[in-house]
Amino acid sequence: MNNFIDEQLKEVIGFQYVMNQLSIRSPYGRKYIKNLKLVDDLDTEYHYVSQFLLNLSLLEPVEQLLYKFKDLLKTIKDCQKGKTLDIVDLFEIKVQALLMNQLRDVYNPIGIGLYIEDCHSIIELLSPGKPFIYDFYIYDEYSEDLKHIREEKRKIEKAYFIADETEREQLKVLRTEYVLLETNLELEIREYLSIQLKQMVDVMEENVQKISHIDLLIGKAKLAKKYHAVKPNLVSSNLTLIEMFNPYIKHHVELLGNEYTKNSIELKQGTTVLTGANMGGKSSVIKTVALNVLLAHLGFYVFAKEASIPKVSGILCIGLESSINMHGLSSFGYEIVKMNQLIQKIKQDTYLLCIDEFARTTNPVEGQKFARAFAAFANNFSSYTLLATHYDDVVRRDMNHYQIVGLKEEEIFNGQLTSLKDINRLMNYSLTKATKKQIVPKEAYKVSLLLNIDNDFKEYLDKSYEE
Amino acid sequence: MDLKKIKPYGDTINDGKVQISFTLPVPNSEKGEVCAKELAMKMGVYDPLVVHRESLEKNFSFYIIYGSLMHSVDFTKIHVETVETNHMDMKEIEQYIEENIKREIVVIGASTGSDAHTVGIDAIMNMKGYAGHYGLERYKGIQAYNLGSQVENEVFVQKAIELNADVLLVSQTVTQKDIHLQNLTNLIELLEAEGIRDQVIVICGGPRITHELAKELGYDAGFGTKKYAEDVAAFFVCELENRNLVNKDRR
Amino acid sequence: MITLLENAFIVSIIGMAKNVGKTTTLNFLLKKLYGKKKIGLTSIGRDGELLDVVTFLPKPRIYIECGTIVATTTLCLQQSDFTKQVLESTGITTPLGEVVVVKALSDGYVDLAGPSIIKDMKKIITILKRYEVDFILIDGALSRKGFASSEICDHTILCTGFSYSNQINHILQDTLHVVSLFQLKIIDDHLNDRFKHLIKTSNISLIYKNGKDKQLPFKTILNKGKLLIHELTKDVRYLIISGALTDEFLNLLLKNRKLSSPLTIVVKHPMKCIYQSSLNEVLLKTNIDIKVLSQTKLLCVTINPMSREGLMYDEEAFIKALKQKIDVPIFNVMRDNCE
Repeated sequence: MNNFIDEQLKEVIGFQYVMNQLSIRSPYGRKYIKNLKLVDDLDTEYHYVSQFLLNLSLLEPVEQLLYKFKDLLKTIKDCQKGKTLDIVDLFEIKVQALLMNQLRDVYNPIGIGLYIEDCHSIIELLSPGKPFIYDFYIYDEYSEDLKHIREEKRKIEKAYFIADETEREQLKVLRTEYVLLETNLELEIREYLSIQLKQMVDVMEENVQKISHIDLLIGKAKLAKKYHAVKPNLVSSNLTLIEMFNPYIKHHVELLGNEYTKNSIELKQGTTVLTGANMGGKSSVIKTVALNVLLAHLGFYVFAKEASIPKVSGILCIGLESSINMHGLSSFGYEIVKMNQLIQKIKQDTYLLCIDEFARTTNPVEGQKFARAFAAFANNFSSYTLLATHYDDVVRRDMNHYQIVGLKEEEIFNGQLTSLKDINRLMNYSLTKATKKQIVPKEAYKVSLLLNIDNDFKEYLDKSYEE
Repeated sequence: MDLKKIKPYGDTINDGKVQISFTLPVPNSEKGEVCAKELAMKMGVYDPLVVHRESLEKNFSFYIIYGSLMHSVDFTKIHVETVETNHMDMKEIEQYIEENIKREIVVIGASTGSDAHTVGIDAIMNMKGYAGHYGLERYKGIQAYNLGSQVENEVFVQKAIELNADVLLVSQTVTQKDIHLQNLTNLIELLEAEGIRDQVIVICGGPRITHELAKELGYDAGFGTKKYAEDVAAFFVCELENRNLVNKDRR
Repeated sequence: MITLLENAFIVSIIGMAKNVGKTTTLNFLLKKLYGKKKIGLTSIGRDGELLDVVTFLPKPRIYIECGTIVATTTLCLQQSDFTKQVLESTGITTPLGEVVVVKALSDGYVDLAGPSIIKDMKKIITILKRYEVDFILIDGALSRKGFASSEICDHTILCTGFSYSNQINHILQDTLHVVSLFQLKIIDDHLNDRFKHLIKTSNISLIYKNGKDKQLPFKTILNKGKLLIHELTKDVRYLIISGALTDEFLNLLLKNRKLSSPLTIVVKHPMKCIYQSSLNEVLLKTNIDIKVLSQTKLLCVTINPMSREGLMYDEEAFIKALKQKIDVPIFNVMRDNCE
């Protein structure tokens, strides 16, 4: 997945947060999550997710069983390599084989697919002539000799208990001989069992893969249910998200006591420009689009009322990274370097490009020219470019243009003391489609008034605005 | 050579040649020499030869003896069972912490009780580390606090509570004197009485510490010589996950 | 000694130090219970191994009866020679491997190593109970005593001896101290619930003479001695501590508190008292006393008169001195006439 999207970006867009909301029951599932890969056959995956969603109540006993699994992959692999297993290993394998069959009995009948294979032969091998219970020892049934040795040993032990000191010493020596015989014979049996299991245990390995997948699918289904997520339409044209949301951002917004706005947006191949004043939530829009595109490629239901998502080769960005990654170059230098990398990529394939406030790190006159040029350039390619800017005149007629409404007019009155947090309440974060060439609202002045700037400074500011 | 009867080797297989040396609390003399020989024989060294003796002080003398050991050991019967440990280097450990633990691990180390040695704990904790194996202070994702030597158990535990420690490293040079063992177990008893034993990983280290001794003392692991910071760290990063202490409740 | 076990269910065997005869006592008990009870067996340390891990001297092995349910680690299981039936794996890890629960299908020697952490020990006891054992024995380690608390067991046996010191007075004092811990009085019923509630909600709290209580914001008494002493005015009747009661604190208390008004320090159980035996004498002279919320019954004391170097000490004198001060039965398990 590392080639698809940068690790840092994953964190920033709230992907980690979403993953933390996923409930996983087995250690196999947990391992699977850590190595999440892009899904090749999205149709089949979505089919599974929808089936799981439909059958969630039937799957409850499956969930309960999943909690009982121990991570036995190492033992299974050792066995495949031909290691002679010890008594505890054999016990663990038997228990897990029994669990797998139990799971099979509950899960397979639901009829979704990813069927668990039968481990009957393993269970039989490890329970010779006995009912299937959750224990293990080197049963007498494995060897007549063993049975005989143990009986003799038992006799000696019984005699030992009632014997006197001198007899005891002799009995001890005799017992040790039998112990040696028993241990050697047990070893032979274990070797035999291990060789038999070497062939049989592949079934368990296959089951482990399926169990991991089943565990994840339950997680995906529950997540979809919790957030009312939808199955995206897999298209090859426009990227559409109707009433989309980002659980990570939504959570933080609501934590502060504010209302979260669910926006809708459509990206066509080429450039889509997103304008709005500072603090207007442009970054949030971009992060939400990126998150949902990533989730779609991983076979998750997406956070929207409706969604159409095309397949892309990756998600690239400029401007969303945290400052850690600056590599010591000046910010603008960094932006240019990244831009070059991006350009090489979009010349080859189709990507989702998330550009937040491009060229903001240089002077506004040149910055605006760069932004405008890049918007026009990117419009020639198959990649979906979402470019957020606060510069004017970046949009061209053949690009989609969205604008964030910004400060609610009616909220502005004099001398209102607001903290940064309160500003959020005064902002309208709705996206509107801008059909005419709209100027970016100049709200810096209004915002500073609201934040109660120093009166002496305000005089200078007013003068500056007049000039 | 018979593997069932392994003996020390001088210059011929099975010659049993050994060199032993010790101090006797008597003056350096012929009588002392005879005494040294008799002791050697009682140790199973036959034909002992005192190759050197000298006076340390008026009433103390030092002896070096060569001889042939009559005992042997059945090498084939020796079982060295070890608990399998993960081997990771510093980069791998840092990556593991980033991907799986996702927060800083707080590690506190000290030589406790009357032990004034800090060579061990410094080697594991300090930036420089030992012989090119960097110490825990240098690891990204680990907050290491080296409290030094002669740290009282009560102070150690109090610091652990204060800093919300995840891992406690105790260095001890264990001798036969019960006092060191007592001090090590007292720490465990104190952690249990304070109700935090299950919330931390406690590791002891020192020249004669083994996993077996660690088990007896009540520690989660024991590291002897030839173990470095990465061995200790590889253990506790995995153990934190195994014991579900990654997201433990902070007291 | 066996008659003493009639009403016991879970018995811990604790020792004053290494080599005081814990294993010998354990073997003695196992031998006497042979054929009579189904036993659950484990250890908080490590016992029954071939060679001592510090001195490399041979150690007594533990011989168990067919039918015993044992909780020990995978590594130690390999070194045990009875016929093993694996019943459960617990997920509890130790430096010697994972703790598993097995049933002995024959008599034999066991290398015993159970969970080291008291919280894990509770889990093991729950598991052992599931197999309907009549009796559970928990073997100790070195001088560890914490697991003899009433949270784990109902009875305990204390092993003492000359292995850690050759000063008879030293051992006497230390042994008497531990015995006295098991004789600390339990808080009366009518107050007990209230104290239990307080100890749950706050680490350190006070109850004044007028009955009011105050919960203090400290996490522990460690290093907070001075601040705590400050709170202990004449009006304080009870000091309730959920953690350890230590030397540092007691010494501070003794130095600073006026002797005029009585103070009772309340701890959950006697194993929370982690202070030196020398403080016992001093405390007796003051009007500070210590009470517990629950107790463990001390069944008896066993003595090993042999030192690590192999010298035998005068056990008669020692037993006589002990008997003068305590009322608990005293045995030397090496003697056959010990019943």
